[in-house]
Amino acid sequence: MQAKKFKYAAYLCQSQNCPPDSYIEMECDAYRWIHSTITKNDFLPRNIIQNPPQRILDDSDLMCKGYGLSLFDTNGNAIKTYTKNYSKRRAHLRQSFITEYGDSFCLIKIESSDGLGGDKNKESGHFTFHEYEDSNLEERIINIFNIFDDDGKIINN
Amino acid sequence: MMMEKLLTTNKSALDSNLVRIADLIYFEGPLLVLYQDIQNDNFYLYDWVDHNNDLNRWLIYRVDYIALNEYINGKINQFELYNSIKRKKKYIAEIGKNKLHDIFEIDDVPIKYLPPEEYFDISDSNNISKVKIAILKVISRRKSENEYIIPHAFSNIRIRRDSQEKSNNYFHKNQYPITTFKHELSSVKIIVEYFNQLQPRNSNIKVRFNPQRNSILNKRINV
Repeated sequence: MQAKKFKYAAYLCQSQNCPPDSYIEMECDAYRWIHSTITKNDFLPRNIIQNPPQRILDDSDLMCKGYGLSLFDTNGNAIKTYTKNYSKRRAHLRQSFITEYGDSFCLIKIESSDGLGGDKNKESGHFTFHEYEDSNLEERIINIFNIFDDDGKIINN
Repeated sequence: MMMEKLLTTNKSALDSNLVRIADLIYFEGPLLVLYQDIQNDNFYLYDWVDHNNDLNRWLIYRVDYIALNEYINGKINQFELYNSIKRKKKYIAEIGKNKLHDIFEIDDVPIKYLPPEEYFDISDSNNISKVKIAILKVISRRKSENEYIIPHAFSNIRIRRDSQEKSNNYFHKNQYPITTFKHELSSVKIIVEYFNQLQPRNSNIKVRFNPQRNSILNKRINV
């Protein structure tokens, strides 16, 4: 059987074992931070995004994971991790956090034909997902939820 | 997107040979990164403070190794760590797309760039064992007659007088607390070696691990 091609294959092949052998095809619900009006960056891996420039101090920051998409296993974990990272930012960087990562999150229906996922963090529910070449997770969106209420406060789930 | 304007009096390169140790805070890229000067063991932090559409800006400052140990053990917050060395040089590095654009010294750090009063969260970090080992190495090298600064990592170590003292009493006042290296037996061996190096020549102190049931350290090592 011919191996399926991944998006960004030209970058993936620069790392050893990328995506890792432990990554598997999955059929599940997943959650991803996005903007309420979806932007072109919302479904781009962070190493591909040019603006804002990625925080890279040396080549070790260009890891395989950076060419995958960050997803969460539950809506609670998606909000919890967002809240934690948003609130830890210096005050003047909080707005840029919203600009970069979005003000909403979406529910996505992942199919086995979409790609491979793995490296799930037990605490945060975060995992990395490498899309197959023909996959388009944006088309898998079931619903979009606000992270902030009308007063600009994070909605507690 | 605009970055804070900085007042600089003189441009000077950071005259250090820094090696990256680990990321103390990491989320979708590094946010607070520990470096060490291989010439003198000094620790520096690269602290991400700002960005625009082209550049990321990092505040670079030296921190005290004891304070660093306290930070990773949750005893002090990042702001206190920043203040662990009062009179220090501060630098700004501006890095865009994997390329250093500029690095310069600044006299005053803008208030909004000052580190937050946030405590270390191990789930934000990677390779924390490298940090601990780096601190221990510095401690061992900076030994002096009056310096018995043992980090919290020695929680499993007890110290007792040797047989010449005809006593099995433990030195409770010298029994150091707290953090453990439960998963790193090799690191503990290094700790023991460093601890022994810290003892005065004429001292005869034995170090052993306090055995713990169901622990990887359930192994007594007499040195």
